Amino acid sequence: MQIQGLSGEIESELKNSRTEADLTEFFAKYLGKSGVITKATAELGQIEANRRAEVGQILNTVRQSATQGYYAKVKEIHDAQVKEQLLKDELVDITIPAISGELMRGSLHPITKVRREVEDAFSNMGFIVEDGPEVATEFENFEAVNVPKNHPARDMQDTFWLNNGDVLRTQTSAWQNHCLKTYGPEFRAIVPGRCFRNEATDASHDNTFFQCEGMMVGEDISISNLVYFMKTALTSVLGKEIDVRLRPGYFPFTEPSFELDMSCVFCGGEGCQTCKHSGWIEFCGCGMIHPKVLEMGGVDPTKYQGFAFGFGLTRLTMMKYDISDIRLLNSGSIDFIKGVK
Amino acid sequence: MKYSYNWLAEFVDLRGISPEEVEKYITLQIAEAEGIEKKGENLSGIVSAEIISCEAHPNSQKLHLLKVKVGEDKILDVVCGAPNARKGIKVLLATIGANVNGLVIEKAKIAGYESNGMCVSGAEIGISNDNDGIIELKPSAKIGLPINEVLPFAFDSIIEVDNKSLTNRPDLWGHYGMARELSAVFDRHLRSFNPKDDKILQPVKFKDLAEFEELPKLSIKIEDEKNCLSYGAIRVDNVQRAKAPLEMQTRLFYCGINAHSFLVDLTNYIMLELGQPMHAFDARKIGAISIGNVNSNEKFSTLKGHEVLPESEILFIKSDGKPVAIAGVMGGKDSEISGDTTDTILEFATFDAASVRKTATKLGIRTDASARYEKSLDPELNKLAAERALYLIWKHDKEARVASAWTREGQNYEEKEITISRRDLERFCGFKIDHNMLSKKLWALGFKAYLSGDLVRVGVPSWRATKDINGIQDIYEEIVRMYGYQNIVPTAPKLEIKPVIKRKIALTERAILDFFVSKGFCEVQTYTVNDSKILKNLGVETKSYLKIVNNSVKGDDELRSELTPSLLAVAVKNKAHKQIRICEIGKVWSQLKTDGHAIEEVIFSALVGSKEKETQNSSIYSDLANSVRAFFETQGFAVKFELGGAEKLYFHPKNNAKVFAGEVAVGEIGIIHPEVAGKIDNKLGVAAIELNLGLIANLPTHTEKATRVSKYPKTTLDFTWTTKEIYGKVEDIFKELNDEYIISWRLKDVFVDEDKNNKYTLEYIVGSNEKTLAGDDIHSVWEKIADLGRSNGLILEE
Repeated sequence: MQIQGLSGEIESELKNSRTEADLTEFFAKYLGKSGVITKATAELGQIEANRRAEVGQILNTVRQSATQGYYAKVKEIHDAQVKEQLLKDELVDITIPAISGELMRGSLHPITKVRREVEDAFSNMGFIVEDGPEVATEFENFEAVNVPKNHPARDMQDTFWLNNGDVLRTQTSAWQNHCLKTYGPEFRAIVPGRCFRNEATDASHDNTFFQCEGMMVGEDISISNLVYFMKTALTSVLGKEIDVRLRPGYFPFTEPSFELDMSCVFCGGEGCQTCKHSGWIEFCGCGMIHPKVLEMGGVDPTKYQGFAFGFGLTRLTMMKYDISDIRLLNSGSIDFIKGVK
Repeated sequence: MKYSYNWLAEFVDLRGISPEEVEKYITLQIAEAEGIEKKGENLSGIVSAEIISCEAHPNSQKLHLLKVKVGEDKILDVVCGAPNARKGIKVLLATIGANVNGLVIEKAKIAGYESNGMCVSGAEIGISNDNDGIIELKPSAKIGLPINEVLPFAFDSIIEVDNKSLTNRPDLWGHYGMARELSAVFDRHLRSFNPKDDKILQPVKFKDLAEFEELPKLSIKIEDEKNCLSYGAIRVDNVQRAKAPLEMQTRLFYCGINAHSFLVDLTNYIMLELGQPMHAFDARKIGAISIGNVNSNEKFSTLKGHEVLPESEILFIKSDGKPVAIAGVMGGKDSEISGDTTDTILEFATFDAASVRKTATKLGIRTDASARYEKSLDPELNKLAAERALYLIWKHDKEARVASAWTREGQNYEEKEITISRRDLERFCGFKIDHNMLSKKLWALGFKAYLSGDLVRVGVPSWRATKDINGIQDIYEEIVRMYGYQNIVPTAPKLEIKPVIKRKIALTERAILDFFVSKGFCEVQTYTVNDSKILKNLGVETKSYLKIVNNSVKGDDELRSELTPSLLAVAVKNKAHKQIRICEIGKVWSQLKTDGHAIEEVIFSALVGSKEKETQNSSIYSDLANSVRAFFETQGFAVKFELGGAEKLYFHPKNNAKVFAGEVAVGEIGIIHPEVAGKIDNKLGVAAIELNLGLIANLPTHTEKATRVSKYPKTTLDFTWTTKEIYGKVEDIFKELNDEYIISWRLKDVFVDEDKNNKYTLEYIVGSNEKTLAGDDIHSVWEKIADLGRSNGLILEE
């Protein structure tokens, strides 16, 4: 018999099988009890001894490939049949949203979204995320950050004083003293949280808003480190390369103090309406922590130094989502919150 | 503070540096500039001229008919209404086509006569607020010259700098101080006050006070040395000049101060030039000067008409014991310069910043002088200011005569020296600073700087020593500022890697928000004060332990002690929605400690509301309970409800519960009282939960070992129990059961029959890790469960 042509013949016959009946026929013809391959194998003994091994091996290969080809074809035909059947099923339209109940879309408040991005950006760089109380003592809010009594920065108009002598914190810096005492002398932390100012509200002022305080203290923490962390965090939160620059500023709790500008997120520094064509947006106040503030926090200012910053989390949120009226944030309007995506 | 570019350029060489460049570098290296106002931009076609004849208009009392000469043989007819128009004076004439701050001059007929131009007033060309008459030039003025040659000072750029950013810089409240800064920033020469220092630029001109040493001294006594740091005065007689020169008036006006009289303008001019406020008294009203308090019930009248009752905290300048000025704030009516004043006593004083601030705030009188004193002025500055003032008087009024010696009482500056290490400076900045640059810049700013090895001895000038420069970091600031903040390269520190401590409550906050948001809740944020109006309408009573006592806006003052009322108020604001699911994490103050401070707690509250009939109160409520149960499961705690145990009065009296996690009460849940809900919307069903996240975050956590999954077959056993009890009780009974073959159990079905009996079907999965259970094994488990239920009064349905 012709073994040479056998494998080509098997291949073409498999290829032409269309139905289960075709396949049954194929199996009987080649692989069944009286199939060509089975028979040829049985007749191996008749071949002269010096070729027997060689022919046997060829036959074996042919049988393996015929068997594999057969089962693959069986599966192929079965799958096609099932598919044909399933395509007759009803279409389930999952493009229809949930009309009510369990699957209604929930939403985080935009402040929470940005707050988390800020927390994660700093946390990834080793900063502890702290949370100070909204009601602070006069000491925490003022004295501990080098704003003694009679200091101009303590203007009565701006602070909500409470009946027990405490204040609604005017700045997240009110928690600096705690951080220094708890984690000092060498640490880095941010304190995002609500602050309060006793002033009339309008589209860009609310008496309740979020700030984010940050501080880092160590033996060699420098001004250029401050620039590094601000640049890196802003780039991470805003999702694009941001440049920052320092300008002179004045705050009682830092020395020197800086105003920090970031390159305009909207025009990339080219100049636009938002940045008043300067390419820069005023972002936050910062500086090297005042030695008195370190001292009051129990940290030796002759050995340790560091930076602190405080930026408007609310402002960053408004900038990121282009929110035009600050009062929307505390309005409790569900439509507003769901509209910020 | 407004700075005139021309005025700055009088002291520092700004050639080739534009006002825009100056503004930019002020912002980058000095203080926050807020913009430039261009002066004289809209002035053209205006020339110097002479009125050669002035006749009254036949039909008008006000108008004059002028012949105005603008050139050798160019004489124009002009109709003019100015009261001071008269023959022989030199004026400025806006000719046909001229631009007078936007007004284009055209040929016109005024009251029947042709007018070929307009004689302009100071207000019309924007150099003053003087609109009472036309500008009169010096008799010597040439005619026919364009305005930019006649009044070059009218063309200026005014740079405004944010006052707040100058809070710590008393030296920058005058032009000279800013000029000094610019000289350091741009490496340009500054004109000095040292007459010998004339090699590069001419020194600033002044009168040496030593000239008057021989004259009699004034009588000055400082009674309050704490609040009056120094007091200097000098008498000048026979000042005949009534009005300040136009240039002085213009500079003052451009910087925001209106002109008055020569002497008053001079005091303002010195203040804007050097930052030293001064006061001019009418010498006729001043006797022996003393500075201290006044004990009197007699009201003191200021020159602006304020009536001030002397109090112990207010510092006064007194003449023979009677008040003549409020120190550092304002002079008195009686001793002010009036039209016939020729003899004056000029005051140059330094007062304590806090004292001036207190007085100004208390009286509600804020002046340019008080603003400067509040910044802590240099006590050395008054002598310099006096010398400069005398020079300017002499320059503009040659008849004036100094009539006393310079008399000064009080403190002098003791030189302050700070030593810095260049190594520490580098550690502080994070970059190297060239020592030549360091030294050059410090000298330019008026500091002394002596280098020796690593150390630099820095002498602090008096004008920086009062408040601003106290320690090493202040010197670092000066150096880095001059190096240029904009040149700092961001650099990461090299640090040990340490794990970041994460606060438990922060993790809980995130987890609960994420969980509820995934259940369709919308996170809101509300004010920390109760919305009293809405809550009153709803009939919700809530306590408050803290109250704002000084709210500048009339409104809510009570800090919240619980969070759910805030969400009820939000529900009111969103009642257009058919369904709402809202939640919030907020702080509340629900207890006062014995020391008077309040305990601040972090609270989570969630509220579900629906107006749809098919969602009944009961299903909203149980859905919310299930959400809470599921959340606690994700946190590894079992939740328990003590039905009816909640204390909030705005909950349904029956359908409410206290929530326990393990054994700890962590909050309350309930249907909102139908009367409250009805006031939000009469179709609304609402349920809410309030949880204390601080308590939840601090619950002990435990890790359970993984259950082994048996490879042997399992069997399911169902038991249907009939009882009147709530499910929680039934659960408690079976929770105690332990059997090695029970793998798990759950509530499979609930049914209430016609007699209001509850039927609970419990499903048990039984099996073993060791073997396939035999019928006997299964039966013994069945018996155990059945016995337990029966012995607790439950009826097993067969």
